[in-house]
Amino acid sequence: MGNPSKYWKLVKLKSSGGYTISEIADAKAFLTSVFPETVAQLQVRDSEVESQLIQWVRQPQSNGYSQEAELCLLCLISGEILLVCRHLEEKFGTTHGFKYQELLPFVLDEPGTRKPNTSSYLSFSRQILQSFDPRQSSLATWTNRKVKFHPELNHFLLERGVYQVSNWAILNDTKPQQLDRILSQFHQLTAPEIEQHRQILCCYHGIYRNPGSRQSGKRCQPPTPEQYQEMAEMLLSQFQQDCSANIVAAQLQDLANRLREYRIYVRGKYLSTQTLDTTENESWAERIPYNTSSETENETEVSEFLNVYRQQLMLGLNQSLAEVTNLWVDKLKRRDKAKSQQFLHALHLFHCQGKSMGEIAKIVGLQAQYQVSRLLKLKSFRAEIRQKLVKELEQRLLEFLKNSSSFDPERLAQINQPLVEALDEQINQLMAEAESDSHTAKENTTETQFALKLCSYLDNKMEIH
Amino acid sequence: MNNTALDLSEIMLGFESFNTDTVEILPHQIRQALDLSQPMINPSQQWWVYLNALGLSGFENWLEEHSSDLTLNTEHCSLYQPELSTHLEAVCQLMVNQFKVCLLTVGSFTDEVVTVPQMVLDLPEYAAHFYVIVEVQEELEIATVCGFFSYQDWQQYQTTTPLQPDSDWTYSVPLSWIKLDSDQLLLQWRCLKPSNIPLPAIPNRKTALNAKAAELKQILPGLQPTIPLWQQLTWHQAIVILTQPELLQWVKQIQTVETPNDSILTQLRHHLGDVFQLLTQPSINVGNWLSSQLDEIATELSWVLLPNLSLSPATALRSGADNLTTLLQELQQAGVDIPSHTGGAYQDIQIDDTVLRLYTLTGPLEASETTPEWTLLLVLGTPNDTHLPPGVRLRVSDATEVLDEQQLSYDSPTPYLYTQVIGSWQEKFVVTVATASGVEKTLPAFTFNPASN
Repeated sequence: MGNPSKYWKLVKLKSSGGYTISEIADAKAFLTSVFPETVAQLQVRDSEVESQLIQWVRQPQSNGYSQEAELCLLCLISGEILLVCRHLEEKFGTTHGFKYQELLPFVLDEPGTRKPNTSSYLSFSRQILQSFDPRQSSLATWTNRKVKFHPELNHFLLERGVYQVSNWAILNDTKPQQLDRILSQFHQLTAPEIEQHRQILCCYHGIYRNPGSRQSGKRCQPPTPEQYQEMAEMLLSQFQQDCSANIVAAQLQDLANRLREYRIYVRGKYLSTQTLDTTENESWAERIPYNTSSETENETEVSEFLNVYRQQLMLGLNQSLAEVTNLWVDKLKRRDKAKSQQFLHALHLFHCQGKSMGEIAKIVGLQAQYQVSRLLKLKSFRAEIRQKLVKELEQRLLEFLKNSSSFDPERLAQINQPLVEALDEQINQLMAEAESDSHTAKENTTETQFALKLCSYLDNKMEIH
Repeated sequence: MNNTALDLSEIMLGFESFNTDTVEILPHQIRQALDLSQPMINPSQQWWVYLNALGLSGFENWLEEHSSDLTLNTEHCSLYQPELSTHLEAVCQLMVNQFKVCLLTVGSFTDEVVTVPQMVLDLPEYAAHFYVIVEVQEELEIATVCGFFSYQDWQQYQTTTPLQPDSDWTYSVPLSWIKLDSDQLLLQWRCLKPSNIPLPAIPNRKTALNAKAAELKQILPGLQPTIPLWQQLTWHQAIVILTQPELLQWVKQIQTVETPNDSILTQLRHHLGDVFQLLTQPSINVGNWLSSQLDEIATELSWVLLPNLSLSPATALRSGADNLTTLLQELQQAGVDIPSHTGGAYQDIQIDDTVLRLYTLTGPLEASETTPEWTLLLVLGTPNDTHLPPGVRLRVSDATEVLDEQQLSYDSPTPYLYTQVIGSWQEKFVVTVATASGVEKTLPAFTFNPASN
């Protein structure tokens, strides 16, 4: 059920950027006349209205409604397009530096006029409508799909670090052996159905998948009609499956959709999107203090260990900091001198001036926040400093950990966790100081020493270059 | 590991974003991956070698970007050994500092399990301290280092919840066993020692090799190149092959024969016999001959030393083996390089009613290059200096191929066969003598190690 106005409100691109919503009087009058009751109740049974409108559009000779019905559907599509673009911004826009207004021009080009008979150009919305198959999905779902797979829109997003895996890539990287488990357990298909999919996948691999045939820098292109035809022939000769090329295409699409669905499920369950280095958004105060008094023997040990660690930390901190920063700068310099400068500058802005990733991007001339994250790789940078410290402290730690002749992976993980917290806390402390602009050093505390050392080191470093 | 309900907008959008563990794969690395994949016969293997090569490049770039103190060594990497990579959907025998590392590449399709070849877990020859999961988005030319598990983790899981290998010689390792934290991985490399993660010792494979030799000699010549090994062999047969580089080489040869014809296939079959001889039988150290000594095996097989060869080959031959004198002179005239520091011996070989005499002369070669080499000159005649029966053949192989095969024709002007081979001190040669009727006798392999007795 939905508000009927979506059938007569057309989302249109403004020449100045952004969009306007204009009411299409013809569409409104038409819908009100053909569905008076539902419109009056302000509630529309979408599937009913939609299928009726489609029918009128597709069979113009049987009635006089085709153009009006088409206008209604184009309005519906335009609203969906706006929705998808907004979703994209909501989810990725901030981190990846784009606004939905930048996406709209790729997909919103329907003027909302009655179709002139002479023009051969089809707006994207009309393409969506024309390719829509009511037996497969609703028009909203179809629109959603078509927008998501729009090539230029995809390209725009990819340049900003957001991507969608293509069907062809998914099919390429799926082994026939995997199908059995996934299609039976996740999709509950029957054995013959699975076997059919397996055979089609094998033929697809045989005809389409060839590492040498793809042009570098280009996304996977759909198979050509000839390739579909070859797959159909291969199905017949190898597996005695008689299908037309069209059916092969449809079945591959179906298989890809099923695999994608499963893929999303797995990624949601296990690989929930890793956050970028957005320490700025974390509340450092909420972190568990590293010298917490603990009840269990294990944690007491860890806590004692931390006291040893704190004493030793000062000795190694300066050195680790300098060494790691130097190594990173040298490494970048070997590839790109400008980049090494950018790195130092960004590190300084972040650690010593408390700038946000977004601000840093503007200052050092990068497009988006995520590019700063990728440049700084704070997680790895800090990890390397931290891990260098651990290594330097190893001997003393070993003495402390009398019982073990050396680290084992579990003990190491145990030790590392408080270190992560400890060092992160120091860095957060530093940031808090930077934010409150209180550069008055509290002498002889680890935190301030850390801050001072890092910043003075960076200051030096940047003067030299 | 969180178990959050699926993010609805994720379903709706299906988009993902780069994270800091995502790295680009460079154009020259893609070309290299293509080059590595092209020689693969089976199109499916071709794809996975390609993807694995991209995975290795991605891993290399990631390590470069994320650490300054860890070194990757790809010298012995399985990917650069086609005889191995063709059977292995993983990249093993990598070293990161002192750790053995195996890469498991997953493509654009994320599965709830990671397919791990049985050989990198069950065969100590290929086991690694760390198994690293690299996701390759081939069409986007990017790779992400997703996580890892150690050999120790594997063993612990195998004790508590054992996995059985699938019929295609792979384990389906659940994602939940994998530590999805690349930082932990870097930490362990930096702070652990290889001894913290004990790997199983490589067992002696001789017994299994001997036990399976006969059946493998039967089966291997019939291997089909386009069908994976797991559809043609049992796992126990495969273990024998996968743990013997010489057999892997041989399998690669038979699988890459471009136009199989009888003579090539016959030669390959002969060579297979030689390879098994090399692998299963003790060898004769001809280095001892330089100091006029015979080792145990040579004595057992009634080899007879040619005395004082080390002083002057020609003189010595005249005194100890008159019938060779002219022959050696002829060979020298023909340009055969007879080493100045030479040892020699002969053995009489009886095949059916025919008695043949095989002379062997050996010595180190003048060190022209950095690797020291030795030479083996073989002359096949008869004890009483009569003409060899026509149709007699003399074949020499090393581990990789038949080096030479001579056959005495009916109108041969010389009454003997000879051949000379050269190899590094690590190389062994296998000599086979055959009569016209096809009866063969393969001798124990010859090795050259003058220092040992």
